[in-house]
Amino acid sequence: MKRIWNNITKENSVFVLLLGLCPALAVTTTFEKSYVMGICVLFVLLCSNIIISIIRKLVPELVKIPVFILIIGTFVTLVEIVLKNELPELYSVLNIYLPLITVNCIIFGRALEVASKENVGKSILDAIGTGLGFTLALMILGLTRELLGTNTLTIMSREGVAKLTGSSLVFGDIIPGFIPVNIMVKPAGAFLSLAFLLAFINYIKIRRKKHVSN
Amino acid sequence: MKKNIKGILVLTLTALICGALMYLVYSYYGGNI
Repeated sequence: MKRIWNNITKENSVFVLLLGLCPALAVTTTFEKSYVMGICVLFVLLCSNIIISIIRKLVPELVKIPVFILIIGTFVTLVEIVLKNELPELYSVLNIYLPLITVNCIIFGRALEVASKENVGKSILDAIGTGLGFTLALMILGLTRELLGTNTLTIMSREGVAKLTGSSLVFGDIIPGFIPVNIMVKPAGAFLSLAFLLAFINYIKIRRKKHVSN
Repeated sequence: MKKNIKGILVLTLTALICGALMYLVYSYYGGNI
């Protein structure tokens, strides 16, 4: 549990390690897209970590990287096929960022650092922690950007996740009287949101250090 | 030489298994990718 908690908080891949920023900034225009991307990355991370950990002693050093990329790419393709058939509109919105999961630093980094060296149990815990941390970071970014950029909250849209659950959950005019700042759903807004969130997190960290040293 | 052959075998086997897995899911959805 400590490992999972560590990966979500102290070693969060987006807010602390600053990895996987491409999808983090590009798809977090709505809350729904954020958690769907997070779940896709969690699935690929978990499955690839399990398989790589199982075969770690059979793979020679010479072909480690191509084999790992093959395994990660397979799971990404499976995610793409499933998403395209089950949620086609969401698939077309996520577009190029789904195949880009294959070259996401988080997944390949965890495969090399943890899955290829540790047993299956530790690899699973590491994958769950890292994936949950990434999903949480994306959800925070998505929530911030959608609230400030459109003053709405899309949890399950009719064209998206509602196709699986049967009921849509979209809230409009969350903050009454608030005029949305449209730039927050544009690329510049992505960098602004991330910058302010990082600044806030670093401020909390410094205050905590001062409190502990006192 | 032995290491190279083992490496090529592992890589080929992984590619075949990954390909079979992708084909399974692909055929489950009726060839729609």
